[in-house]
Amino acid sequence: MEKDETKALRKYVEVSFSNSNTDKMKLIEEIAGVISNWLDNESDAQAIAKGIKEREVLSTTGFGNGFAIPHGKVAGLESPILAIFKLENEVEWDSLDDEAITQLFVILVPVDEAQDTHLTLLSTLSYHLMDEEVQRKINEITENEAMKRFIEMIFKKGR
Amino acid sequence: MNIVAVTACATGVAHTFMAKRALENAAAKQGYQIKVETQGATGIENELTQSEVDQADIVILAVEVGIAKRERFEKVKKVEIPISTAIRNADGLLEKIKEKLQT
Repeated sequence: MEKDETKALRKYVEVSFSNSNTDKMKLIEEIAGVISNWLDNESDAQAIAKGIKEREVLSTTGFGNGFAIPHGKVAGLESPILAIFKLENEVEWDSLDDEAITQLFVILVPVDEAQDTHLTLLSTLSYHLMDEEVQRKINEITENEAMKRFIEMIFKKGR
Repeated sequence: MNIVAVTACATGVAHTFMAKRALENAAAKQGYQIKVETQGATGIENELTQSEVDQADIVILAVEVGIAKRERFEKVKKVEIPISTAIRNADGLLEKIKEKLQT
């Protein structure tokens, strides 16, 4: 049953993303466009950027060691998604440790959250991202498929 | 030191659980017992019983939003902090609490 759940959570990975923007808000708009394309416009870029920015202004999602976990509720989204980017150009994120970030784990959920199972997976991921051993391993991954497999392994752990 | 805590952030998916992990790691490092209840998008998990609350030396409320069942904490020693403080410096937070409890 677990396998079906992780398959159903949509995951997109880009381990060498050449970002044109290094300003936080502009970078959010840039990746919103990319995600919208991946989703075939299920939600448009503006709705995605809006969802992420709304959460970001409350408090930074940069939690240290070059990692950030921007997330938000997005109009039009049918089910939660996880989008992972390794940025080639670092971005200042007002992180808790004042360091720039290169690893983005974007979590988007529908406005009406009916899908508990996906939210459970995403909270499990957040829980483990705080671990330095996990961060170290993620830093070493250079291929999209390897990243997806690693994330699926994390989902199988508890919290 | 025996600690109980509640974490609750706005979206209830990320910071809530990161704060839980940060507090657990810090407590383990400093040799304290800790139980962290999360109030997130999936509801209340690892719920604290009244007796667990009463037996704790301190309650840490790392919250960004209102929390459910706050009555449990009315009569106990507590400290309320922004959730980002727990994520950024859980070690320092616990050290400070230890100091305060000793004075």
